[in-house]
Amino acid sequence: MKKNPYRYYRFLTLAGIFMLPATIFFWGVLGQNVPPYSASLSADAFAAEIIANASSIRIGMIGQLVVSFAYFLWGLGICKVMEATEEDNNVLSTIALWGTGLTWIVFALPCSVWLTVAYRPEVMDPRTLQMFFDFGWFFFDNSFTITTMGMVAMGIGFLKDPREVPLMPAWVCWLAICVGIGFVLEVFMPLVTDGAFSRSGLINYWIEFSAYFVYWMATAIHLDKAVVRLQREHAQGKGLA
Amino acid sequence: MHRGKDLPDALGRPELAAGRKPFQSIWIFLVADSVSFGLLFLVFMVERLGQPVLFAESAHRLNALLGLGNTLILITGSWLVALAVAACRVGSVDRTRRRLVAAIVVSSGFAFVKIFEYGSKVGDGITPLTNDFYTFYYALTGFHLLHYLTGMGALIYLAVLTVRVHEIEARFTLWLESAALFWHVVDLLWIFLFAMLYLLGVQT
Amino acid sequence: MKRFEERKLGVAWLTLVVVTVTGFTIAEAVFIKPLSVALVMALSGVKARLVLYRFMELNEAPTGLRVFFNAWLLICVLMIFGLYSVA
Repeated sequence: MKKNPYRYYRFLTLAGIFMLPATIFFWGVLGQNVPPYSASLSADAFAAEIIANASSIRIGMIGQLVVSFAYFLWGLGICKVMEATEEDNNVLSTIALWGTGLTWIVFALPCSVWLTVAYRPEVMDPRTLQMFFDFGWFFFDNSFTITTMGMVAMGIGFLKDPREVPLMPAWVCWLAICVGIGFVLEVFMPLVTDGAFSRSGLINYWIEFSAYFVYWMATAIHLDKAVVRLQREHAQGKGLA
Repeated sequence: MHRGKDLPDALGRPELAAGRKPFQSIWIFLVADSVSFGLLFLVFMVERLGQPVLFAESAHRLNALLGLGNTLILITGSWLVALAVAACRVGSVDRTRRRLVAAIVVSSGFAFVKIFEYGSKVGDGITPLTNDFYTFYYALTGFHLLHYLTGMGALIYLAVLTVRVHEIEARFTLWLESAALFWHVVDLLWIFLFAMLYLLGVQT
Repeated sequence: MKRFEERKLGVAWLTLVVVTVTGFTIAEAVFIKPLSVALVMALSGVKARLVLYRFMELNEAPTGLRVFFNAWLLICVLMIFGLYSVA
């Protein structure tokens, strides 16, 4: 038996817990995304906003680009804890790892795009700024399937946990599946510039993103608890096997 | 009532052997899903406040008879699935399969009606871009259709499984009961979608 | 016992069909608003409750679920009718 098969695991789960408030602070607060700029703003009004808040947006996006690596580490944490429950093979944990790991791109690329927009907005044509800003949002919202894939795989994988008391509570698994599938409403985002389905609207921003943050927090906390439990069980010498 | 009592393989599931109803964890998903749809209903009705005339006129252009037909189809499908669960609980594989197949055949009508309905709307130049009402119409019915397709997939999978099994296992019963619960929620959500999208506008 | 269970499901199905057609007829033929909408939404609530209790056996489910789904359908009915009336 390995001496401590769960070494470093808590580092992975804590990465997720650490990144969540950092994301709210950098991407959300400093990045001027709470609330986000409406897609229905005219190019000139939009450019004026960006110029007025350029420093704050830049600091926010730089910070977000720095902390985003933690999402991959957290994904590895999900994958590793899932592996401790898998009886047949590691397909679902691998999908969860790739889904979460590739979501790093969804944080990194749009933030670079928004950083570019806030880099020297005063010398740029407002319509160029607007177009590039839009591009950031389409990448951010409409690449949701890769994230959904990881969330659903995680939900199914942990639901199949044969333990009497599963490592991940069933409600977190179902929440992950539900929130992941709910992202499908983002397909209506590029069709409108205003209203509930727009990128700053009630459904496609406030509800979807709040639900996502609840999923993230609930999963991160329970994943950490699961690691603590795995380590304790190992110390007491009664693993799954 | 005392399901599983006469099933030989209720062993290994103490709650089945004790005649108690095991908790289906899919209920948690159904709660989250119902909350999501409840929020969507709320957002729709709040958006409607701002432009009631446009919403009523747009709703009036929907074919309420197709909505009625689809409601009847889903209700009948739900009933047949409930009958399949009843047959499964008394251990009758053949009857379970027959009822599942009947449910699948009846419920497939929903998809045909939906394809026809979307087709005729798009044919009339009505798309999600037409106005706010139609954005909601396509988004809500589309999201519901995704649920429908998932449910149909589960029913078809279980119907195929019944060909391979000769005796109902407790695990199969649990799967069927979970799929049935999901299928009833597809019905439940449609009941409200039908009233909210179609019936609020028929008299305009 | 089995017969009885299945007959109960059949009665529920028939009731659902009758209530659905009634609701549709009211929506088409009763021209007093918002009374017709109140009736349509109330009948939708009745249908939802039938599906929950007859098909989904909510009566055998834990108390939390019973409370949640009853509250959910009541809120949906009242919210849709309420926001319709004030529009």
